[in-house]
Amino acid sequence: MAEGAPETGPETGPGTVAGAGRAVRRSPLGGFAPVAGERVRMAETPFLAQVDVRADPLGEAAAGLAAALGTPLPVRPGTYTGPVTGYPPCSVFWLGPDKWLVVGAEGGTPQEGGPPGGGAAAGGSGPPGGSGTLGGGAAAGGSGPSGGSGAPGESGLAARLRAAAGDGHAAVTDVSAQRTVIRLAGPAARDVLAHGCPLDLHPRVFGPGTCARSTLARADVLLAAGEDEEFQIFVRSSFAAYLWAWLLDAATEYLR
Amino acid sequence: MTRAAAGGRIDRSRVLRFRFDGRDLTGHPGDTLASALLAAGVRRVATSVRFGRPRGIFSAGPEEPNAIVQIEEPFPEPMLTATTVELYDGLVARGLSGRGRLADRPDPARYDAVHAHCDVLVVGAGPAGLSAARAAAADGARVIVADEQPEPGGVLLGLPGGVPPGSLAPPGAVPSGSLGLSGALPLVSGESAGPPGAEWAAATAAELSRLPEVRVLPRTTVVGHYDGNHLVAVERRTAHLGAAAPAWMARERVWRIRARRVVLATGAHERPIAFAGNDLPGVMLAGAARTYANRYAVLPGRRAVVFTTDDAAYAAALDLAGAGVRILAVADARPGPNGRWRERVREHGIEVLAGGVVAEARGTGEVTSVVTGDGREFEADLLLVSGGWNPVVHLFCQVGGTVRFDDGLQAFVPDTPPPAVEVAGAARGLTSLHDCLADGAAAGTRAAEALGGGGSRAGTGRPGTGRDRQAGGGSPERRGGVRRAADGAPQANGHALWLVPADDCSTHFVDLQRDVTVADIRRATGAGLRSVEHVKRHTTAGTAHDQGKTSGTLVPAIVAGELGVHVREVGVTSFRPPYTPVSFAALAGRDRGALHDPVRVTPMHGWHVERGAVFENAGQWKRPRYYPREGEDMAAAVLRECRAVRGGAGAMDVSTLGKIEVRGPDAAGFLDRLYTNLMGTLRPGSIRYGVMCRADGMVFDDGTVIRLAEDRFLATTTTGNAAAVLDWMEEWLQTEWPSLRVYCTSVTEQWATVALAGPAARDVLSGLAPRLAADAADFPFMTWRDTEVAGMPARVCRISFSGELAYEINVGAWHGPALWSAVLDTGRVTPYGTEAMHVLRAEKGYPIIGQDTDGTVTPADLGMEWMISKKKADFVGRRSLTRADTVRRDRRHLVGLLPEDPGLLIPEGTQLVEHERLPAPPVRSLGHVTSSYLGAGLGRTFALALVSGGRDRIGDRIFAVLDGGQAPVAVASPVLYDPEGARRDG
Repeated sequence: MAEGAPETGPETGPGTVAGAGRAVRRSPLGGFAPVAGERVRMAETPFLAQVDVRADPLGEAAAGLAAALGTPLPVRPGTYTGPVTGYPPCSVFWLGPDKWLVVGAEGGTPQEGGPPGGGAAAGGSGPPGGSGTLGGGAAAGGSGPSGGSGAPGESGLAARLRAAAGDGHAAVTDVSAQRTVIRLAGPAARDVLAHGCPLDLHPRVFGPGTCARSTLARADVLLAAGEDEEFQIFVRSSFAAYLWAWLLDAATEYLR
Repeated sequence: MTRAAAGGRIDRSRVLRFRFDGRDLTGHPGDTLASALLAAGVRRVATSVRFGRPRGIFSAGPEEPNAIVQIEEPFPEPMLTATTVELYDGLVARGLSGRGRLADRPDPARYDAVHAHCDVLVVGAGPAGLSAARAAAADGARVIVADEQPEPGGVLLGLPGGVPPGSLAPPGAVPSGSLGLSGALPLVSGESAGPPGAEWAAATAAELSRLPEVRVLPRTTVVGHYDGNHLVAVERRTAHLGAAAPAWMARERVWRIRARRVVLATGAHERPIAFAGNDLPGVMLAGAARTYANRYAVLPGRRAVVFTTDDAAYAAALDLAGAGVRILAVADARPGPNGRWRERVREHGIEVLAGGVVAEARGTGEVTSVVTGDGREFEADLLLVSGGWNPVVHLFCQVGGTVRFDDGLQAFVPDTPPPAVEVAGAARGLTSLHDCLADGAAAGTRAAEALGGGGSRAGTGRPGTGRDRQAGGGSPERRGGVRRAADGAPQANGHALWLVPADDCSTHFVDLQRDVTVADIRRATGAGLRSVEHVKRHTTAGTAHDQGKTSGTLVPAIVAGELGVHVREVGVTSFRPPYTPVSFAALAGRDRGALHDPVRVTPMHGWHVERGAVFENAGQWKRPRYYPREGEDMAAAVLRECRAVRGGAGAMDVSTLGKIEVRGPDAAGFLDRLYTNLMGTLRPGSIRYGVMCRADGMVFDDGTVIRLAEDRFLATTTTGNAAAVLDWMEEWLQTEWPSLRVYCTSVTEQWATVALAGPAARDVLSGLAPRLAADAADFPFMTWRDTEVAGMPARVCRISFSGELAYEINVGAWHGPALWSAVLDTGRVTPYGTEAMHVLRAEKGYPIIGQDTDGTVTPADLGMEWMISKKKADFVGRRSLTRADTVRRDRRHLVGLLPEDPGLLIPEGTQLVEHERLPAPPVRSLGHVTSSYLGAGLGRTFALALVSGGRDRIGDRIFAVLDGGQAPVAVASPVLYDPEGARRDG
């Protein structure tokens, strides 16, 4: 069984960031020590901005999004684009014919593209509606509905993408905390994944720039291959501790 | 000792100690348990299951029906074949009689599984398999070679001699017909100048392993071959190391392989002949004896008689004679034995009885003499039997290949192959080494060509497509049939001899493991059974854990003889996975213990654990059921938590509720079609409770719907139905109403949610959210506000599932722990779990979908006629709600029950009846109890129940059927607490 997967972690760590006041953020794998083997490396990338985009790929909203992103939304199944630079750095993952996941460097911030770990202001814990494009001071007044744009505390990326989609029929939804990301890298990363993922992960089939929704162990994941034998595993937050423990167990023979 | 002084593929420099049936013995690396037992002179290994007869070692492979053993140390494993257990130091085993012993403690070993993909999977690393792999890999294809043995070579490991020298050259260069082995059976060698077969195999496997896209898997048995060329194999990785096996290494690994093409080079099994006493220790398949002599340097006896119907046993006889076994005679049942072989054994002074048979093996406990058909009795301790060879067609048939009976071979051989499957070598009836090498190479080349050529062997295509079909419909030679030599004569000269006739066939064993005899089969056919499947079930032949590998052709042949028909008309029984037994531990892999099933946790889980919460499973979620304090049992803790909510304030983690954002210009209309009540009239800023039905009008799910904006809603679902409701929405959107402009997005885990309930809830909330106008007038029931709570952006919904003044505070999930702590740090709030929540909602008569409903309950049954819109043109389930059955007055309604004894807690599920004393059966049930609790608000026990015509029975006295007799209960409204809702609206 997995070792080193505590039920609760310490109050500080890579996935815990102090915000304004008492509002301390905690990521699903906060307190789980990264794994750094020669053949397998594993760590959570917490607090990414993640935005679920639904739109007709040929429609007005998709065009607006493409213009804002500086790149068309990927339409080839199982691929992703990015990271796109010149905008809040983000990547766009194809999830379906009319569905994408846009992932930026930092979630929960109404500012543009703050660097990871950018501190309290970028930590999404500051007062909402204070700046940036978060619509209409939605959450600030505390007296009524937000008028149809953002949810309280949503990422700046979501707000910007919603603005870019314009009036076309689209759904731009902040899902930054819906999933967390486990980065799995190293020469044995593919072998570890093969223990639980039925996809063909051969580099010629599943190389850099490809992504797929699949199962890993018994969790649904979005799996994306990057350069240098590095994979991003997007997993539902509630499954993250399970999947981490499973990955540790599956990596046992490669960590020796 | 019966070990030869030299030779064999064993490492004599090391001695392995083991214990069998209490005797301390030794062997060497390279031995199997069977070879070590034979070397130690152990002849009796097991006891037969039905008759308790002594049994020895019959074969040298996984087809073994006799030598079934129990491993005791290092860890108990039942029902293994001694012929496949690699010997290791410290092994403790004993012979079995049909039944093993499971370990009484958890297996400490690790097991795992892996998914693999390849262009070509080659099953078997014998001469055909290795040739196929080399040919297939030549063009860069991704190739996996799986073989059950610890080293490659297959049948070559049991041969003394060489392989054709040409076979070390590229496959196309294998010279044909250069060896003059025509008529040799099977894989007779020793005549060529090539290197020993095992060395060739090792070199070839090493050459393959060096290729980047090739993986050679030893000790790996492919046990299942399924549609689409999905195959399952089990790799035994550490069992052969015994106690020295590293704990970190998975003991067994299940391979789930997707192959674009499969080459089955699974070889052939020798089969026995039925005669009297053919089960005695000392009766052994001829090829097995040859393997023991050559591979393990073990002499399985001193004085032997050979009983054969083919040439292969001559080669065995010569090898054993060369090793020092005295061969007394060869009884060749064929009227005209192969002259060349006859001469060769005669040169060694061995008598050949042409047209001869063995009538009986005699002995007590083991063979001591052999009686031939002409009445001569030979003193012998070994009887080698060869009744011919059966191609191993198990995988081929599992995946849908058909077999036909080949008269030349006297065996069932592959006929029509399934798509994208090739069969090569002895598995399709070839009998000479040269042919198998060439056939394997051809099969491998065909497999590679069928992949479509080109530089890329990425394997992205699906199996069974494109050019795949061409091979399946190709020339007869390619369709798996037995290939004929150039002169058109069959290469095999098989002779049908299935049994040696006798008056008493009660020791003519057919299935050794099940103790099934020819007499048993005659009883079955005598009783009128004609189908071999029926005979199998009647006699149990072929149903033991060897699955009849040695009896599989014998049974239909004997049935055919009894029925007076050709064996092809009888056919074979179905081949089903697994090919060899697989341990449950291997199949479980790492899906056991803490990883057995995903445990889903909320962001606040760590707090719950620290505070000693007792959890309950809600699907895969862990939810706190209650938080016991020192000395509290569940009832006390739940009562305290309920009182805290009713009297002050309680907080509950309700993050698990499903949340779906529904957005688009048609979102309101879409929800109007799915919920029974109107959602389109909901104003932004407000919340409405909703119920969904399936098309049959039965309640499917419930929850609140928040209107965020004109075109935007947030629907909540029950914890268990979150995924099902999203699927339901998508199903209607994608299949029935694609014109609706609506997108649904799950945001279940985007939010962490805390329910804050109780008369003090507003006060607590106001303290945490100073910017929120929380007065009843500013923030009425069933509305929501975006604000800040404890410094965090939050959405607060004023809804209640407890009947108290209550709020649900939503914050981004990363803030969940901070919000939870902030609420509890006020010092005024008691955490409560699902059990208290159940009690509180039940006092208010709020049903829980799935507990108080079971898929047969309409909204009206729940007393929710008011939830069924009369204004809407339609909604899912509407039509069903006017069916005669759904408007019956005596449908079961949700009602409250008050036991007359206010301390009596009626178990959930209890049946309800009309009469105080049960009449004679059948007794009509009025319904059953769905929820039952001790209510804090009520100060007594109560229950919810589905009762026939229940709303018309309010006030009636009915009876709960308990073990100790009937208990009177009063039927009441389901809303037992604060029916006016004053507390909720407070």
